[in-house]
Amino acid sequence: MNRFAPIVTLTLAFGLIGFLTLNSTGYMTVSDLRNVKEVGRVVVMGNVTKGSVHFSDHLEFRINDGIWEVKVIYPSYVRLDNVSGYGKVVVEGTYYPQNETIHAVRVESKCPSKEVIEAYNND
Amino acid sequence: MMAIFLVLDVATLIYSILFGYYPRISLFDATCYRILYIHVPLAWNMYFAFTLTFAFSLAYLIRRDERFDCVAFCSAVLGILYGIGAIVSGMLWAKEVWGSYWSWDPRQTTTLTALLAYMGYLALRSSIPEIDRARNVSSVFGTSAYITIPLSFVSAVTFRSLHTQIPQQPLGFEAHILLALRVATSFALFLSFVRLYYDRVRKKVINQT
Repeated sequence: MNRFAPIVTLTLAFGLIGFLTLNSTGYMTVSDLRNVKEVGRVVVMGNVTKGSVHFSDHLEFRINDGIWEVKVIYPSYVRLDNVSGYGKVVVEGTYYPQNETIHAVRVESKCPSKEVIEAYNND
Repeated sequence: MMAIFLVLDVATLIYSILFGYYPRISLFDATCYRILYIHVPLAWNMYFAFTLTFAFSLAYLIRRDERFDCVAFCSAVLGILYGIGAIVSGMLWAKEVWGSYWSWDPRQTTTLTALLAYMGYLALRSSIPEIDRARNVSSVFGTSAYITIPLSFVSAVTFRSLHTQIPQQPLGFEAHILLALRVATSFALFLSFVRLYYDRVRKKVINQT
């Protein structure tokens, strides 16, 4: 047997593990939700729509990707960028296509970009 | 030489923690940006350490020179230590900015996969009592496991991720200079650690034989 055959086999195995890891941890875009026709769990990345964040006893905001926009309801509180329109978030929860709403169980913000900082400095 | 690198690294570290630039933003405690000056050098050194392990494992398989295997081993041990540091410092940043310590984000998950792969390298190596066989098997493993490193690197570049890259960060000239200095000094210190650890392991191997 070629002495490099185990390297090739093991590299393919590690490559497959890495590929599966990346695919299982990737996020949907907001416009991907247009193709979702049934209620189900989603993990979506999108921009918080400028001025859409409201908090009373729960958090409500909208996310978009420039093509499509959905509403998010989160029964807790997290600081969100309501100023720039560039603040990216990842929302995990149940998507209801009939009213285009995600009932979130997890909301996380991406590190702020240059655009976000500029918007805050000009605000 | 190592003492100089150690002093330089600690000096730049203290300076960056106390006086390092951070952008003004009211979304979160922006002083946490200073974690960047710790996290980035640790992460880059981890990538470099595993690249060394890959290169010297492959060199061992081609040349059968045990010194190559020794460098690969030392660099894997240090890579794991730097990797743990990078993940922990990243988690502290993530808690403040993303909202939680761990999100199973593509970058976090692929880096953890890489780290576990190289922990497997050490576990496998230590489980084989016959030294030549241990060298052979761990060199094959050390070469193959490297595929997880480019995957970890591209995970935040080509995939949607909470993790940003340095060019996307709102950092000015001053921050880039300080970060470059931190990376350079910590890289020099890493190389000194590799050299020191290599000498110790080689001495031990020579004494055993």
